[in-house]
Amino acid sequence: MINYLANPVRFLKFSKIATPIFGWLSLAAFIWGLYLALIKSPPAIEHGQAVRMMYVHVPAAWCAQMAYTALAIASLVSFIWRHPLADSAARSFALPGTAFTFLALVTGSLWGKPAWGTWWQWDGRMTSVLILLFIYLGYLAIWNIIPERKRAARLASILAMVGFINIPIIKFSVDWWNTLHQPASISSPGAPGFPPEILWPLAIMVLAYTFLFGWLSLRGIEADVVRSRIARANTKPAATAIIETL
Amino acid sequence: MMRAMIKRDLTLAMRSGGTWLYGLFFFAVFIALSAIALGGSLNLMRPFAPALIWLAVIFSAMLSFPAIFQTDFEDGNLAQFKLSNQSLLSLCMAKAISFAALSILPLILATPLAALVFDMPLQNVMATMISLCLAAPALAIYGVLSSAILAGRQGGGFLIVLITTPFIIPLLIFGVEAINGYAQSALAAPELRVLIGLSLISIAVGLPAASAALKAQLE
Repeated sequence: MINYLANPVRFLKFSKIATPIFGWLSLAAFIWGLYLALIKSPPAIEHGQAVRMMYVHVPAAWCAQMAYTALAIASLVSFIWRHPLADSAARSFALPGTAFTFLALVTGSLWGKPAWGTWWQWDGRMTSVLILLFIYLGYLAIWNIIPERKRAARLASILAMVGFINIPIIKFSVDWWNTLHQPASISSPGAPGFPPEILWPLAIMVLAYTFLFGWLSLRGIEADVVRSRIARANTKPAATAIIETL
Repeated sequence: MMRAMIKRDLTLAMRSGGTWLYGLFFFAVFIALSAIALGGSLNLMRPFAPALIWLAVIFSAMLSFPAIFQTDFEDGNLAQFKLSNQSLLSLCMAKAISFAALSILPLILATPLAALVFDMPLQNVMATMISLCLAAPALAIYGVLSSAILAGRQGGGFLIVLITTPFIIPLLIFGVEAINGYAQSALAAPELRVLIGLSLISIAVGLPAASAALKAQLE
C-alpha cells in the first residue's frame, strides 16, 4: 500500500479520490457529532453544561498527539529513504498538528474556568501539551528559515525524531515535577465508566477530527507536490555555449 | 584527533581577547537583574536562589549555542573537516567537550559567588553545583545539536532558544528538584541519578543526531 503510494503520480491519483472522501466524511461526522454533543447529550452531574467542552477538547488533544506521531514516522521514512513525498507528508502533518495543539490548550483553558475555577493550572498534562506546542513551533521554524528544500527536510526530520524520543522523557519529568508541587488537587475529569450517551458523541467527534486531520494533511501534501513541480518547471535550463572553431 | 580539536578550540578562545567571558558577564547581569526584580530582600530570595542560578546558567549557555559552529561554518573549516574524511561524530564530541569547558565550567565555578549574594546555605550551594555538573554534558550536547541544525542561518538567536527549550526542560526540572533531594539524601538523591541518566541519553541520541545534522549541512 505504502509502496504503491510512494510514487507521486500514483499518490496524486489516489488523493484525488481520497481527499474529497475525507473532507465530506469529516463534515458529516462534525454535523452529526456536534448535534449529538451540543443538543442531545445530557449535561453531566458534576460539570453541568460545561461538559460539552469535552467534545471539542478531547479529540483535539488526541489529534495533536496523533499528528506528532505521524510526523515522526514520516520523518523517519524521509531520513532513511530520502523520499520527497515523505518530506511533504511530514511538513503537511505539522501545521494541522500545531493547530490542534493550540486548540486543545485554548479549549482546555476555557473548560478549566468553569470546572476548576482557573484558566490555567501547571498540571502535568497541560504543561506537557504546552511543551508539545513549542516542539511543533520549532519544527515549523526550521522549515521556514532554511530555503533549500532538501536540506530543510533533512534537518527538520532530525529535529522531529529527537523530539519524538524526548516526548516520553518530558512527560515523565513534568509528571514528577507536578506531583511534587501539588499532590492530586484535581480529580481527573476522565473518570472511568462513561455512560453511552456521552461516549457516543465523543467517539463521533474523534472520528470527525481524525478525518479533518486526514483531509488537511492530504490537501497539504497535494499542494506541496504541485509546488515542487512548479519550482522544477521554472528552473531555467543550463546555459549553453557554442564554441566555434575558426 | 579529538584532542587536537579541543586544543584548537581552547587556543582560539584564549586568543580571542576574552569573548568566552561574555557568558560569565551575562550570568552576573542575570543574577543582578533578578535580585532587583524580586525586591532585593534576602529572606524572600533565598528559596528561589537555586532556581535563579539554574536559569542564569541555562540562558547564558543558550546564548552561547549559536557560536559553536558559526565561525567554523562560515570560514569553511567544517567543509575542510569533511574533506579530511574524519568522523563527524568525534568532531561533535570534541565541540561538546570544549563548549562545556569554555562556557559552562566558568558558570559552575561562579556559582559560589552568586550563592554569596543570595546568602544561600552551604548545602544548597553544593547541591546546585553538583546538579549543574551532572547536567552539563546534556546541556552541551543539545547545544551542539541545535547549533548544527541552525549553522549558517541568520537570526538564529531566538530560534535556537525555541528549538532547545524542549530538551532543556527535563534538565531544569530535575536540576532544581535535586536541591531538595540533596537536602534529604545527599548524593543518593534520585534526582541526581535522573540527571546522570538524562546526560547519558543525550550522549546516545543527541550526538549522532548532531553529526547527522552537520552532514546534512555540508551536503
